[in-house]
Amino acid sequence: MLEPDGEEIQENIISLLALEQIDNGIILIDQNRKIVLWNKWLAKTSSVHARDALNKTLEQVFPKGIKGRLLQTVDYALKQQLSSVLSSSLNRYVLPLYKANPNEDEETIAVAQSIVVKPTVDDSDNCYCLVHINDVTDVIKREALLKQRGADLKRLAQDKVISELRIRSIIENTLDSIITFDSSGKIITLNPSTSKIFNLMVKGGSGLMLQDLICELSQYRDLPIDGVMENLGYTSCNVEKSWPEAKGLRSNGQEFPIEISVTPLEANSELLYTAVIRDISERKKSEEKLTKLAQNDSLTGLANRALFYNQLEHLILRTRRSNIPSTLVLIDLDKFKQINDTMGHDVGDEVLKFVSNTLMNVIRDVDMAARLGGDEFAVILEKSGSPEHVQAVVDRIHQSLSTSITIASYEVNISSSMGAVTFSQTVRDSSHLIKCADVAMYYAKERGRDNVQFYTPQLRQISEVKQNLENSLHDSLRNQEFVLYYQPQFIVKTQQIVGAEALIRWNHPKFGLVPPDSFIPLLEQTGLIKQVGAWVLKEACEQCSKWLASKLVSPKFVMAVNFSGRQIKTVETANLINEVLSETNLSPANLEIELTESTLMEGHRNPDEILQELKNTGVGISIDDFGTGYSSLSYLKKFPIDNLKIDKSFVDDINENRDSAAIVDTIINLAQNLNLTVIAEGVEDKKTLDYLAFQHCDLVQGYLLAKPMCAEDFENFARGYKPEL
Amino acid sequence: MSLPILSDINLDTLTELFNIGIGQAAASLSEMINENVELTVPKVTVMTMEEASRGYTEEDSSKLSAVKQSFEGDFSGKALLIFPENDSLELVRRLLATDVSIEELSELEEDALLEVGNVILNACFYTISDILDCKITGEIPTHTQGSGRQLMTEGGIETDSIVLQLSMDFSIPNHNVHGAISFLMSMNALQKLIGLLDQYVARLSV
Repeated sequence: MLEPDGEEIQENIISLLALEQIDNGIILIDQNRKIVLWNKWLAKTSSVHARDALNKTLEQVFPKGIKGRLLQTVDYALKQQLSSVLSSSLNRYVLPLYKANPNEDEETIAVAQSIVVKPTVDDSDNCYCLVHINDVTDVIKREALLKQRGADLKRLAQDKVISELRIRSIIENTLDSIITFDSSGKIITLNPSTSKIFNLMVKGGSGLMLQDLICELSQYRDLPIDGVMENLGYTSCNVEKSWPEAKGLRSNGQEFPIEISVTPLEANSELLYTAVIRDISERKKSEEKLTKLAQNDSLTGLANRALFYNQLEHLILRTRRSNIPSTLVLIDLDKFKQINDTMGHDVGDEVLKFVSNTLMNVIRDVDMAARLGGDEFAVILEKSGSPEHVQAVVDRIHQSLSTSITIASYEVNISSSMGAVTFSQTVRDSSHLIKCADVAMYYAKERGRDNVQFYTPQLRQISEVKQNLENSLHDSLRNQEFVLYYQPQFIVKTQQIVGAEALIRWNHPKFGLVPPDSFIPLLEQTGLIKQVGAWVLKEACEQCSKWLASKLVSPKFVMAVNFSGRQIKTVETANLINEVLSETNLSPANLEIELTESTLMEGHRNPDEILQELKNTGVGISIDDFGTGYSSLSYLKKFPIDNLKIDKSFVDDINENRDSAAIVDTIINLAQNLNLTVIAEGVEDKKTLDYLAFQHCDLVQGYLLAKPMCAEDFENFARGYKPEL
Repeated sequence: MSLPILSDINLDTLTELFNIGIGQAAASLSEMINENVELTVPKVTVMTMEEASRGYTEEDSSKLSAVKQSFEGDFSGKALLIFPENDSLELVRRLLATDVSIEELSELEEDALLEVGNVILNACFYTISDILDCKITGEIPTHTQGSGRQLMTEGGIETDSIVLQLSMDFSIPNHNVHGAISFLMSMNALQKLIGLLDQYVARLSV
């Protein structure tokens, strides 16, 4: 063996230093299997110092045993110069090597090793085995991490594939049209439903533009499509908001309703759009059907109240702009309640249907007929033309409803009361308009039904006065606005005062003295008549009682009080009379109840019963306005009546009209024969009085002798009165 | 090019030698992965490189995976343990109990395949040098992939090399992998091997 020269020694030292410093394990084993090199890394990881390893075999250094495979490869290298690799995957911990743990949960961790065993020969042909140990602990960790990431990525990729498949399947199978197009509107992709919805012949939409499919877009062919769509609201919609509606255009030119939503889509730096388009033809149809159901009367098929109001509102708006007059007509069937009550609701329904059909036939297509409820109908005549023309049209409607028809063997007479109002630019609102028509219709009813009235401001005034009266009536009793006037009654022969008729007056704070004709019907309509009637009775009795007590009048003085139909309907009336008599300390002989014939006959209760109840109280009963109503001779005999009052209309005419005179004669004779007292009212001149005296009429009442007076005036009158005879 | 003829007895001898070698390799592998691994070499043939690479193309048009180890000494050349790619993957999967594709084969997993090839090839080298009493030095193995032709020709192998082809069955429980070992060597090297075989046979018959 040659001695190494200085240069070689230097080189060797450098090599050794390098071996000491590297982060790998280096073992050099000589032919005798003794370790001749054991670098610093190994000393550190094996905790075996070089001085304890050198000149020992591997088995001696690691007496607890090392993997046989390493020893075998060392043998291969030394004996046959074969190189070997020991992969960390198959032989991870060949030598018991450890290093500090970076994670600190354990002090040290085993070093995973990847080993290369290589034969090497020195210059003197001595064979050595070089064992090169790589620390792959971190590599394994990194690979595990990479593998995990790889698996995650793979799963993600799979998920993406699946979700793409899913989206694809949705796009292919949805009933909505899904279109991708570029900023010019050129269609790039479309799904099968698009072809179906738009009736497209070409598949794939080559050369097709979005503008070809949407009516609203067709006029903007040359404008940037995004701005147009934004203006139309296509791009601003989201899931919560309903999509904007538009009109689709089929290839055959047919239009149909659609909903559309557009989403911008940036793909490969090009701006594309996706439109989802829904054919809503079916939905529209069913919506219309529902609307019809909700807006039409189920019995007659006419528009119902809701639709009527809606249309009227629209017409009012149009009229304000156009100033072309239109007309509203309200129609109320006369005595429809009677038809329902006497012939049954089936007949009533048929009548309503007949009226509906008649209305539909008689009006123009542009006009509208509605059933507002019950037997109330309305017709809107749009742009109804001149007043004369309107009158003719309304008359024609009225005529067509004035007829008689046969339903289920009933002969049904139909007529109607109609109120019409023509309006133009100055129209206020629908409710005011309807009120006007209502006033006119109400007036038509007051005018005896079966006629047409047009609304005029005067009608309105009348109605308003009535309305005011009605409103103030409620307060009048409490405010003591009612007063009683008394008109004396005289014996024709002696001209002595024998009684007085109590007459109600309303001293309105604003309108002054309101005549009974104006407010009695209102009292009856509002039901106030009951309280007012009771007040009248009590007031009259009190007055009478006072006068009797003060001997202003004779003990036989009789106070006559009028009773209305509504008052005598209840059994309480007799009780009331008894109560008042006892309260006012008045004898029944001094009280007389005046009833008209119609009051008695139209009551629902048996007149016999009513009169008997009244009679039982001991008061006198007088039939008012005799001769104008039923004048049934039989009831005169049957009923417990004390007096007959000849109606003013006959008395007025006595001197001019022989028939009137004859009637008066007959009534007087009749009464005398039946032993009834006869009173003639409305006596206004001496000649009449003379005639009545000649005919032996018992009592008279009238302006000739005395007008109705307030209590104070009556007292003055009575005190100063001396019969002229 | 006329191929040197290996006598029947030489072929038988070679087959037997390889069977001994890879029998040892099987034992080593079984020990390493704690599963019974059986390796057999049913057939040894000599062919041109052209024939060898064509054989692979016919057999499996897909890629091949190979562990390549150069050897030098009394005769030199390159030894390749070749599997169809799927079979090599199956081997790795079996050995390491993982599930990867060839693209995902990590450095460490490639190492495992390398070691398996190394064990088998070293066993062959060891047996030949031990029994034929010659000297063969094995280099560190490498792993490559490619077509049969690519595997054969890369790394400066002469295209007129002779191929000593060992078909090989590699069986692990429930799975059989079919592979081959190709010893690529020059005509000269092959002649040397034949000489060594003749000597060995002669020694045996003494």
